[in-house]
Amino acid sequence: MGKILRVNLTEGRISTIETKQYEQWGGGHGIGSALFWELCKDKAISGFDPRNVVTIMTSPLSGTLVPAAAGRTEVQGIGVQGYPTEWFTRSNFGGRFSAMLKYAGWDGIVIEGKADKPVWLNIVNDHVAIEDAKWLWGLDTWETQEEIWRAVSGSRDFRDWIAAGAGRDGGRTTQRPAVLTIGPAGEHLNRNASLVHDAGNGAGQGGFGGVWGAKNLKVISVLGTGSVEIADPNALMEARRWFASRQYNVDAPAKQSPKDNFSFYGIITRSPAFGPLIFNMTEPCRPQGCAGCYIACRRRTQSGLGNESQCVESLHYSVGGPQTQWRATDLLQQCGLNVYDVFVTDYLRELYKMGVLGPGKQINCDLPFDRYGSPEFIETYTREISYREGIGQDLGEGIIRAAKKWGRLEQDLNSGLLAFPNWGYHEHYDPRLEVEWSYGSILGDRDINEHCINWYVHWMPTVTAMVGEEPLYSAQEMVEIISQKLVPYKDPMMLDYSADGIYAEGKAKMIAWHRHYTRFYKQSMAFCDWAWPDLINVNVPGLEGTTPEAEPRFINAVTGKNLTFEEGLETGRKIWNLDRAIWALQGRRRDQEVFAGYVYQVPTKAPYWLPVYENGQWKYSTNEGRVLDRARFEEWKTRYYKLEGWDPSTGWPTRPTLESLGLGKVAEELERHGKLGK
Amino acid sequence: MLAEVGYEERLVGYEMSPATGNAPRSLYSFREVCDFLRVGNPEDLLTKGSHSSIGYLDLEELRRWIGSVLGDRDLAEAIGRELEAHKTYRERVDAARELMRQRLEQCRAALSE
Repeated sequence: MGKILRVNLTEGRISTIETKQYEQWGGGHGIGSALFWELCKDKAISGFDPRNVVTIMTSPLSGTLVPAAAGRTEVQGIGVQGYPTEWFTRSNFGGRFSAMLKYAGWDGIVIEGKADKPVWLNIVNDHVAIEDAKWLWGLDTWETQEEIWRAVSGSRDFRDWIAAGAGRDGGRTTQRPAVLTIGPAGEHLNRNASLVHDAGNGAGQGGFGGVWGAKNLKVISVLGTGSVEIADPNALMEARRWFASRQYNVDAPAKQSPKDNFSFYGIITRSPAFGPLIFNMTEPCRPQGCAGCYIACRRRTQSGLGNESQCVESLHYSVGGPQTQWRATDLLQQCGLNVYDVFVTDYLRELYKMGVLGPGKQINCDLPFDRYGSPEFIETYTREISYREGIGQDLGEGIIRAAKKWGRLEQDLNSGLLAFPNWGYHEHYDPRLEVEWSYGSILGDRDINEHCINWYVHWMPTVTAMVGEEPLYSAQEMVEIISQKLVPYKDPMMLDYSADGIYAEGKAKMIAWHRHYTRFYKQSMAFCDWAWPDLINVNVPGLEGTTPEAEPRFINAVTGKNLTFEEGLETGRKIWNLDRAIWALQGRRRDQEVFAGYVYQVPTKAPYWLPVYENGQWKYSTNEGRVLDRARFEEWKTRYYKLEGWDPSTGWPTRPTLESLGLGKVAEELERHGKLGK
Repeated sequence: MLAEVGYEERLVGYEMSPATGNAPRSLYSFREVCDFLRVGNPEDLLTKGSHSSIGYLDLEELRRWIGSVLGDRDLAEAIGRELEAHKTYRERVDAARELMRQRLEQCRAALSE
């Protein structure tokens, strides 16, 4: 472990923090939460407040050869997207930023205060400068990065060496700086503004682009020429060989896709380079991945359209043709917009069709709905939000706050017209059914976006059923394999999504395991969400994935520690409790942890495959016609709070729970504020 | 037949995608419905790429919508017969889609599109 860069923008002061003193938190999110706890004195402030503290953290695995774990960066602080409270929250992005930060000698960055003019934080190894960024203000995220590359690297060709310091040993590289920047949306203090790195890596959720804009922080760039020390290089290489032997064999795949690059099977079989998942790639393209990733789930294209974007950002305007869709995606990245908040053109069209939105209507709007599906529509829409023009003046506040202003919020949340089940975040997976997702979200601060078991319990049976094929494994097989990996519980009923199972003790254990696993392994050690955990592997006999053996094996090879999988989960529980304490100080109460009305009132109407245990048997069910039962969910919350050692009446952590985790000082702080659970 | 319908007369489908889960999608015209309704076969899911999600519709609701909202009773009855004749969702979709495709072509021909 090395050092963390601390930057106070108000005072223009640069200092360092020794990472060692935060070692107990692992890395990434754990250290970010601990830093926020100490440095943000008033946690009930707005995310736009200069006193807000933003952390940008790597993990001990960043920049190493650990598969699908070297390229993620964790961003934390008080977000501006959450509703009704701007919760302390997190976001995360891929690419090469975390690796480059490590190569420059830094484990993370802490941003405090607010600059009095737009600034650029320029990091070249251990040389750090707060520089003027007025010349960059107004540029989009791609233009900004190109300007930074030119400023740091000069006009060198991409094959040329760039000297990072003076003298022979000053360090040199052929790489351009890794740049994290805001676009016009962030400059206009949008609550749906993202941070963008390279072409298509974005930290969207939370609205950290707007937070940076409020701090007058336009961009952070980093160029590093060092390396990451590995405690046991032989063990790391041996672990890689072992892991590779269990992955998709491109020369002789055990479960061959029906066609090359067949995206759905690519996810299920872990076939590398399943990039065409989202886009209709009818042009030559090649796989592209984050630093150190063997999956390479994105692509670079001949035309340059849609480079690196790979997920929901690619789907928000699928009503247009492919070219329009690619362009719409690039516009989001260039403007620095969080797709999950602006993914509401359908909703706006509903209001238009209802006659309440349009020129001169109750909600005045000049968007060209008569050309819905055209490039013109999405270009106008994106521009108006990013620059706060027209209806963008409202939408820049986020769709939830806009709907509130229009007087539509409650009715549209109740009807499901506005499908935002928790904290002002867009629905992702069905909150009435796939409850490891929705319960985890409502107990936290955002849409969790953690696919840990989603691929297995939902997507495998969904894809195979809809195309009329047999599941790759039965519900019984799946439950037997996965439950044995969900230590320490190992309870098959954790995977029961039946109408009773989602309120049972097993589901409380499932949520606890999931919250603790992700807080440590995904968000602190930065194992990628699209690759980990590795629970079922169709490429090996017996279908057993490498979890829970792989994660500690890789961590120990890199760090030289002797961590067990269970110890990692325990650290995750500690981090989860610290986050919970922060939310308590922000005003979190049990009665706030309820979903939007439609989750309780509007039955599901489409098939949604999940495993259920009914009449003594496991099977995949379509689960149609379900709503969440309000009373039973409240009973389930009590069950879960007790399992976590929280006060069932408030949901706040108790002193015994916090002290057992070494968080006695946190308990004292909560008690001072009258927020300690009883 | 090809005109857009109003809000109350819309048909709601569900876009199923790994990136977004089941997302409701309001459909306001026969063209939109024809474009939206798709179920995978591996070939479609690959070649349609960006549309490699599944466009799900309740097929009985679709039949009723075509008959009552669009007023095309012949097509609705023909779709009804195909729904009776096939068992799996995919087979039913394929059959319904083919009938809808033919009707769309007839409409276009009549409009000289």
